[in-house]
Amino acid sequence: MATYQREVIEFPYCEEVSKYEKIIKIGQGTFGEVFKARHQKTRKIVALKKVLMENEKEGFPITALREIKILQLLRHENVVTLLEICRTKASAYNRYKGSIYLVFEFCEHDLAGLLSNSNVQFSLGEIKEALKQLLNGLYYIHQNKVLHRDMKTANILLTKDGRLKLADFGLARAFSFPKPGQPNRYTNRVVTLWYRPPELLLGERNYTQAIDVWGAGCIMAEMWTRSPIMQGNTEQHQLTLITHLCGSITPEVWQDVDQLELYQSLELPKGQKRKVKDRLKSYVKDQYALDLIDKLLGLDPKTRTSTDEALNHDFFWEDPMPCSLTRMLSQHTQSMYEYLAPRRRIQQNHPPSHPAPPPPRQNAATSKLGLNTASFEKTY
Amino acid sequence: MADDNAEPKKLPPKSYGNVIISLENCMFDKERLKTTASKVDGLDPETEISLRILGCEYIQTAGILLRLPQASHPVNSANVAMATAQVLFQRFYYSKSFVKHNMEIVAMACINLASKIEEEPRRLRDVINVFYHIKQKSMNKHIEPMVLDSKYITLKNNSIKAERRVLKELGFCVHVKHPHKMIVMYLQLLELQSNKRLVQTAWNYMNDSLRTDVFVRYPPETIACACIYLSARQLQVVLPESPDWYGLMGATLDEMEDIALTILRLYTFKLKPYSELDREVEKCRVILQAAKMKAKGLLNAEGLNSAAGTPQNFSPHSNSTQNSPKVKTESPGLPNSYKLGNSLVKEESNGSTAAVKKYGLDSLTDSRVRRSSNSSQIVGGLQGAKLQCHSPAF
Repeated sequence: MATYQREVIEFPYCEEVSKYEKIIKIGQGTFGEVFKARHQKTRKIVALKKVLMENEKEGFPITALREIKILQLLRHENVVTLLEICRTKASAYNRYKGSIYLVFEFCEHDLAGLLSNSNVQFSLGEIKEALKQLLNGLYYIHQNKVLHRDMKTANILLTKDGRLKLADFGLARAFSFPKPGQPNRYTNRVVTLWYRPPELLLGERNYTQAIDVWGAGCIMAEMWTRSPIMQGNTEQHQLTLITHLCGSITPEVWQDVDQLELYQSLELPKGQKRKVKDRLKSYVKDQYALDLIDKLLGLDPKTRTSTDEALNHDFFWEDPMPCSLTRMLSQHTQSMYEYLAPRRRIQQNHPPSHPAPPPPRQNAATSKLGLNTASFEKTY
Repeated sequence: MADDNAEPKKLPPKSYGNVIISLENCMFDKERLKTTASKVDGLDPETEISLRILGCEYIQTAGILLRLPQASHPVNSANVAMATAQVLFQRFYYSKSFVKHNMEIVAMACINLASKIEEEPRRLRDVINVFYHIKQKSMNKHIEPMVLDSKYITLKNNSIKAERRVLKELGFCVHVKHPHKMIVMYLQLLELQSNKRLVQTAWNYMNDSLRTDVFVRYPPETIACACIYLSARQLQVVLPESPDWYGLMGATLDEMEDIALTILRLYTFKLKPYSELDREVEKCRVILQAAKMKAKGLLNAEGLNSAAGTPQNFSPHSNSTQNSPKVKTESPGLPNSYKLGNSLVKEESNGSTAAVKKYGLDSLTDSRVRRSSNSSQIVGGLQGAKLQCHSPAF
């Protein structure tokens, strides 16, 4: 009986997510909520990330398809591991639309959560180790022709045994090196504003791995400042902050910058000197560290340092050498996530999210500019 | 400097529980492919093959109309969304049956999904419109734009659901490796890339091979070899034999010949029109539904009487092509459908003569909707048949 119901071939398939029990919500990803969960039988702890489908007019979101493909491709100790993909059954409860969950290995902390907790202290060797792992992960994904496109401290996870992992590939995509005469046309509405590099802010669509390197530079400085170094409110404001730190954006320091779409229409302060080292030296005492931050925050993406060069920088090869994070992290038994952290700066803690609102660019920018110079100064 | 494992790697697919996450193409051995889900549901193999070929044809045509960059020529090998869609379509129907999952909807879902996977997204609305166009065209109907009514909404929702089902069924292993680039590479290796005719012929065979099952049976490297092998034979180009050129790519002569024969069989295969195929599917569906209701105990023994003259020994496993027409001709009220002859309506009537009689034959799409609303009547007419023939098995 019921022979007609027998399915003949079993593909790798999706199991039901009910085999995990949710413990607590630990984050809000680019396209869905993230939960800490436990396998009912094996007791293994995982992270579940729900794919939001509710408002998808075009079916399964292309960003989720990208994330899945990219995570299937990438296997590296510094990239978060996708364990499997699960589903819920369609039922009357969800209007016959089941959901899809990505199941990840569980990491105890994220960098934003750690940095926001003043009880967590990184030694110089530990900072070096964290950054080395970060750049190693970036080097690996770039080697595999993937752009992360959402570098920020909340997307950097750490396990309790001191392993750093790049996470949230919800905005990532595969890239190709542009052929002469055939520039890529990727969307420039990526990367959380505070970590967004100047070329994206100026409308570049033919961008490269250098956009992630800028983010790494922001994160590196944040290891000492403990809060994001440039907290702009609008694209215009962000560019102004960048200019104040990295000097005026001109064709002299950045060849062909005047060719970019928004170079003429955005207001770029003139006559600013580059003072990355000057302004950070009160936080960062190590000369090698200052020099590396300066190189990672290069204005011109063509000359900005690469992950490979960065890993060869003296910073990683002078005493104190990178040392394991295990000892420091073992002192903290409580998980630390940005999502769960007490709101330090209620107003500012939420950077304008990535699929940035359509250009209220100039008007909003100029009006808010005066107000926010103060907060910019404060963050140093 | 960077860690050694930063090398673009080729690690074995990681297994976790029963689930394998992999970017490699899914493959099955020939034995397992013999029994497909459609066959289990009582569909005869000829019809299934026809549906596969036709589905791929729809996808190909739709892809052209949607201006998906076509991998028609070796020089432009950038995008392969149509090829991906066809492989997904084929794979899906090794796991699910044509009887339970409408071929057109799944084909739409596959092209929608593949366009996203290959980074050439198309709007679902465009996909639906294009399929509607193809259908009108294939029936020589006057071409009209699709009306955006509740029917459209339902269709759209169904194809979104079908997309999700495809993803679920394939376990999200939806990234297909194609032999397109390999053909070019291998021909370069053989120093034959200047023979444009050979390159194009191999390329054509490769595109046609998507309509067969070779992509679920062989790795893309082997398929690339087979296409080169077949083209070289056809154009009488000599390929190096010692050492075997194909051995270097991991293929064997047996495999290549098997693939070549499978492709060649495609050209002699007599494709049935969709109307006929749809009728076959509908027949199986009706029978299945009846069996399901019986299993649920919704029917009582009285239903048996209405099934006079239906085949006695029907079973879902028998290749009963000859049996099936009888169900139709001998069921009360059904012969009417034959009077429709080759009219367009027949395409969609699928034996639902009750609907045809009742509402007239004004438009194809209308009759289609009515068909579903009247399917319970059809089931009423045929379920007995199913019951009777199945009773020995219960």
